[in-house]
Amino acid sequence: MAWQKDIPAASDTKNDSQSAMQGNFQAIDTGFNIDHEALNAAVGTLGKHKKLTFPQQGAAPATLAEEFAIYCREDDFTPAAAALFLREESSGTEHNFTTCNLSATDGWARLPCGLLFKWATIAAPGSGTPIVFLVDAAIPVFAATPFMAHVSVVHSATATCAYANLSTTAITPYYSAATSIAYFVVGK
Amino acid sequence: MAWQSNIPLPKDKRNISQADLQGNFQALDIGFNIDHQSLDAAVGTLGKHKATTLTLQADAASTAALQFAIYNKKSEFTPSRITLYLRAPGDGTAYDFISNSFNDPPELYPLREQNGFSRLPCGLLLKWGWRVRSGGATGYDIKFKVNDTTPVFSAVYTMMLTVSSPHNTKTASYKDLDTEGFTVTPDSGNSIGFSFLALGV
Repeated sequence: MAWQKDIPAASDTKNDSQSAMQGNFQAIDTGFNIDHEALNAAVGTLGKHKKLTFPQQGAAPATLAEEFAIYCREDDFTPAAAALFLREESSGTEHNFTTCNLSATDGWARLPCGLLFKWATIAAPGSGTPIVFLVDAAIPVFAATPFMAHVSVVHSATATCAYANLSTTAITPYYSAATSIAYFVVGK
Repeated sequence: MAWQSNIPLPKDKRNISQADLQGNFQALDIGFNIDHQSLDAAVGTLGKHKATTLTLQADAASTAALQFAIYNKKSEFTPSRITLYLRAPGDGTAYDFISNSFNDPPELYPLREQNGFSRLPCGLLLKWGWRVRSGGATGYDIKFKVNDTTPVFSAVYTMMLTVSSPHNTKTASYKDLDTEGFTVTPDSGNSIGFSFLALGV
């Protein structure tokens, strides 16, 4: 029997109350035992979680001051897919920490704290030529100038390497020789 | 009294029902109040989580489409330890995002911080290290640390390499990066100190 939150009613007969209460306990048993240790588990285990299952929600939940929330909702990319978010207090910033691009070119990933990594190994574009971070409907943009970057030359042992003009959209490598360039940028 | 999922029954006498009902409310009070805000909390707080205590499970959690799961299961390493996994929708890939090099027994792996790894919840695997090599001619083959407590790259995407003490006036590069390691080539001489950070999965 489905959950009834307002039983027993004052006018219920004994038979009505019995079936209503039995139905509610059955519903509690079914519902609570999803993700939780069983209600008849020993004290010490009772009430703890076996796992957390996050079905997709239609919208981000609100958070009050001094609260975090973790939840699944459709991400903001195209095509959209289910993703896990961590939301900061007071309905603050949401950080999608499962959507990513794990690849050698235009890779990116985000940590639950919001830190955004972008990386790639690409053909050297020419010293002083900016490398523009790929941004499209499926790749996030740095919201502010990245905090740091590292650039390495590949296969050029005598090369010196540096970077300049790090911005939300690009980084400019300078090097004495290189066939390939690897970069790793950390921002948010 | 322990939880009973199927009470009260039609034939139950009042004194039996009273004890059963009280037992169930007591079990609910204990069970719900673990990890959750108290059942007598104010609306707005009631029903929220205080914490999530994840007990060890024998098997991976199953996920339906449009669902993620987080659970506690023994790691794939030796010695196996409890760890947390995040599993993608549709019974997708499960990534252990807790195990890391700092868990290595220091007596077995004294350089664990210098040969580290960590994995993000999305699956990105970071491996880093610091080495000093000497005695080679034109290059040194470097293997990423792999042992019973360290995962193997199934793919490696990029790597940063920086020359470091005691050879900070030199330059160096790398080549032949793959899932097992790379070759570092110093500009001159036969010794080089360097650190690296490799990204893969």
